[in-house]
Amino acid sequence: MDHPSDGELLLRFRRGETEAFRALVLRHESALLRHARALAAADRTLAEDAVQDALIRLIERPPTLPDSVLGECASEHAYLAAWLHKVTRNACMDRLRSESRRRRRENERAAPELDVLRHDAVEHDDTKAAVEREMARLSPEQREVLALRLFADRSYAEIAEITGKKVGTVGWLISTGLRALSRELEPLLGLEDERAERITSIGGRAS
Amino acid sequence: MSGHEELGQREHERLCGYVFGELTEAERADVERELARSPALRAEHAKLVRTLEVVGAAGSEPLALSEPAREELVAAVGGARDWNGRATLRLAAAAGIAAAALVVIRLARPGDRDVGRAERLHLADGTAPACAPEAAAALQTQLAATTPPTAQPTRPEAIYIGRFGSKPGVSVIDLNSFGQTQAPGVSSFSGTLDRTSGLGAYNVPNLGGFGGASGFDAAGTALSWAPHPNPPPLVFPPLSVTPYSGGVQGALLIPPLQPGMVTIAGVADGGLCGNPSVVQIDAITRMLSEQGSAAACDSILAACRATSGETPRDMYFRFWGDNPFVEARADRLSTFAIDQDTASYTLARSYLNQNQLPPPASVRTEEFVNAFRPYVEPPQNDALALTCELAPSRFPTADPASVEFAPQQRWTLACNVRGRDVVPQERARMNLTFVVDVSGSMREGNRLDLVKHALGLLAGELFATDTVSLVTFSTEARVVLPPTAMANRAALESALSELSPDGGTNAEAGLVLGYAQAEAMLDPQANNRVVLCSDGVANIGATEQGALSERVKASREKGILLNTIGVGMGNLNDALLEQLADRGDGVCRYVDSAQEAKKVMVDELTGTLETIARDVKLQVEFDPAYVLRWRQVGYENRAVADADFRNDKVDAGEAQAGRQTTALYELDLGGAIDGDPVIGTLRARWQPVRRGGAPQERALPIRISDAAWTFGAASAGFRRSALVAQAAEVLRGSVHARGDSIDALVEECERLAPELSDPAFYEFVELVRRARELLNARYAAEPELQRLIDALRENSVRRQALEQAARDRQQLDELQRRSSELEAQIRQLLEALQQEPAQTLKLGYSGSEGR
Repeated sequence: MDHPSDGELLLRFRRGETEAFRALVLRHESALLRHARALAAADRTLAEDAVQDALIRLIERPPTLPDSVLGECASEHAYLAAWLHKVTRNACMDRLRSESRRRRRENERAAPELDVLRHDAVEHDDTKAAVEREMARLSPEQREVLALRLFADRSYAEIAEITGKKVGTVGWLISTGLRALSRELEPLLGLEDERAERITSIGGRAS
Repeated sequence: MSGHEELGQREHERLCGYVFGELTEAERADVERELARSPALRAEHAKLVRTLEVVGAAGSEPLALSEPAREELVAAVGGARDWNGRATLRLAAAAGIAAAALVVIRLARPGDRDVGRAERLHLADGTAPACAPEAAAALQTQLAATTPPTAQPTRPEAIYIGRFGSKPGVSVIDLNSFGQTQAPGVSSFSGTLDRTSGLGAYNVPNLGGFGGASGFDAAGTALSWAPHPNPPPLVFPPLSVTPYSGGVQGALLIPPLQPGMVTIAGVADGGLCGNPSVVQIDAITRMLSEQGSAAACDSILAACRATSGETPRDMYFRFWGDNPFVEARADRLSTFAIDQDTASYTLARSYLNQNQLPPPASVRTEEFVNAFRPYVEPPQNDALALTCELAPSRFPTADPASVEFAPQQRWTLACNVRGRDVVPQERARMNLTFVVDVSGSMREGNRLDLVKHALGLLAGELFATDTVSLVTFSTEARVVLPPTAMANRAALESALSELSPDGGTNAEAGLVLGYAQAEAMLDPQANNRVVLCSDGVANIGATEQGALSERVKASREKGILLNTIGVGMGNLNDALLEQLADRGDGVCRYVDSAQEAKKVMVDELTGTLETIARDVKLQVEFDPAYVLRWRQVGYENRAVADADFRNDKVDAGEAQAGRQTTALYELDLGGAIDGDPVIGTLRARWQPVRRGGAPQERALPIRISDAAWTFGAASAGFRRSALVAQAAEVLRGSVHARGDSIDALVEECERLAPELSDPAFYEFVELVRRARELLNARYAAEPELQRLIDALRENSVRRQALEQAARDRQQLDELQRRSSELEAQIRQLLEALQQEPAQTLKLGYSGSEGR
């Protein structure tokens, strides 16, 4: 079976084809969940609920793709993805807003404990857990734009549109977020300075 | 750490842009040239790419919705139209807890097999405003309209009553705060675990059903109950949902539960938000079955009986904040950051002056208590003075006048921290930047005029050496007055006169520009402060709030503090203003009248604007030999981890000159108290105002000789704090506060007012009177059965108290007679309800407070 475009799936699901909707969900859910989790920090239930909110919104009031993107597979996908990410984001914010005050205080209390944990934990935990932990320590803004960039593969401009930030802010958040991750994950990168220096200075592409 | 010089932020951003293909052709070529030239850049590039690999690999597994969730959604396609009419209960696993069990009561409704119309179940916390009666009424109509014609009369399979703590109270959940319905169709409730919540008793008027529960036993082991591993959809019969001013009511139907701690969160379709409440379920009594309604009736009545040791105080004000009673043996330390905000009190006053009860979630007890003028003497040679006072609690017996000294009874402890007074002449020079909201919404209720008035007053109070700059924002921000010394006061006055409201609310732009001004005139010797005046309706999202508060925090580190002033009411987003002030080490004030504007801007000038100690943390250590259990009143969101008391990196509250912070505790004293033992220690730790000074710490032993023997013998200031705290707790949502106890509160306040002769307190008494009327109106709306059960329980505990005191035979007989009457009425009403088809029992129990 070929891969119908997002636009086609959207059209078919608006006619009531449940399979088309399922295909859309499967296509987008991972990126949306990553986005929501990035916003909701550790609260996975909230993240999943927010994504469901967004998908319900898709059922109830699906967007109409503008003519400018129709027929272009990647544009259709980008348009719908941006729409879904925006709606997910709003749903997440709605759910988070009321909790944010309480949560912030709790996070501030929790932060020093994390600090203590971190140093010995980095050595023992596997990389994935370390990455998740460090991601969790970023600011929600950093987490969100990084999730959109790294896991949802959105461009800076798309991220700016989804989050309502300026492109420059997106770039700044991505840069500061990645810097923090580089710094904290340094022992796991397997990249001692000298070695990196040697590799790159003889012209090897460090990748 | 890299030995290379750190790459500049701009360069790193460019490098990221390069890696993500965001650069133009020319920029890309530039970066590549530099990469070839600079080993440092290459190292940075390698590190970035490697980081992306590691992070990308960690997140390479695709995430997916749970299968049932997705199928629910898929099933909903094409069925969106009848979305609102049906309810299914969806498993709402609690955050971070893997196996939250969901159990479902099945309300028998033969033949109904409609599965899969997902109702959205929303969980949220308590900031939801109370539901408007119209919404609840609309909801009832809607429910009636959506009743399938085939619906059979239903009867719940079972009703269980949990008991609170060791007392035979009844599990109680307050739907009062579950109010807010955005769309009709309140139909279900599900339980989630929350072991972190404190214990709070709530009132259940009635609840549509109970979806599930799980919890922890005393040892912290997770309990879960899952009679239905795959819960069948729950379709409610037409619920009799009774609107009342606080929300909706329904009967409490819960599945068999094990004893433990349960959080019950309000969930329903259509965007209803609820406030998770916590109930302690210690014992469960099977109440009602198809067969045994007489037995059910008996157990309801049995649950109304007082048990040994229960006193009438358990009936009053049972919900005293969210902070639970703590056994001192298990935890002897209470640590928290001081809070000198008073916005919550001002907001409540505005509501009450408009004859409305404030939303319970907006009432912060400590802000009420600290809203009144200091009564403790200021320190002579120190930044802060510590004092404490102990007196019998206000509600040890039904009759406050008969309080007698008995070491085992409940006590109230007040811990006071009084900031040094700063006379205007000695204060540091002020560098003030005002960021004033001139958006269209500031036109309402003359909000902008209030700000202009306040700033005009302030201008008159500033010294010639003080500097002021003024930034306004609506859709965009602009500098109206660059930093100007107040020798030229007229410049500020003329700038103010030109402000007029118009446009959007871009608070972010305003603050950015304001901070730019503040940084330009930053003077380490001066008091550098940005003052944000807004009605808080910033149309910015929560992430921007986060970014904003990061920025505020960064500037605070440079020495620029932030005060926020909320203007107007109704749509006041005081969470944002409070959060920003908190981040900026400043205070949040709420101005609703010219009088309040004067208080905030002029009377409190040094108080609001002059910090005398930073990061003030308080810790009370109780000696378990004398203090059996304790509970802090208020400060729920100011808790600091005990271990962080001496961790000077942990942010806490700022102390302002001339202000007093009072923290109240309720204590149960015990043990052999003779002589004058030290029952605890109050410690304060703070950072001096000047950066780099050594942290200060003071300790004050709390002695039994600090105690007054009766409430009336305590200082007037102490009594004021206790009464104000009680009033706040009533407003916080204790629907248990029955007419008579709030009457007692009003009476006590009236007794105290002439002694204080403080206009602010007279005003407070007036507010409590208003609150009494409004609350009484609310009780009147409660269901009859509920009222009877509460009355019976109250009678029982009163009778027991009298029996123990072995006096007043006549009164005892009277109570006995009244109880019999009530019992008969309850039986009658229950029977009637049993006969009534398609009617969910309206059962609500008020239990004694958990501990």
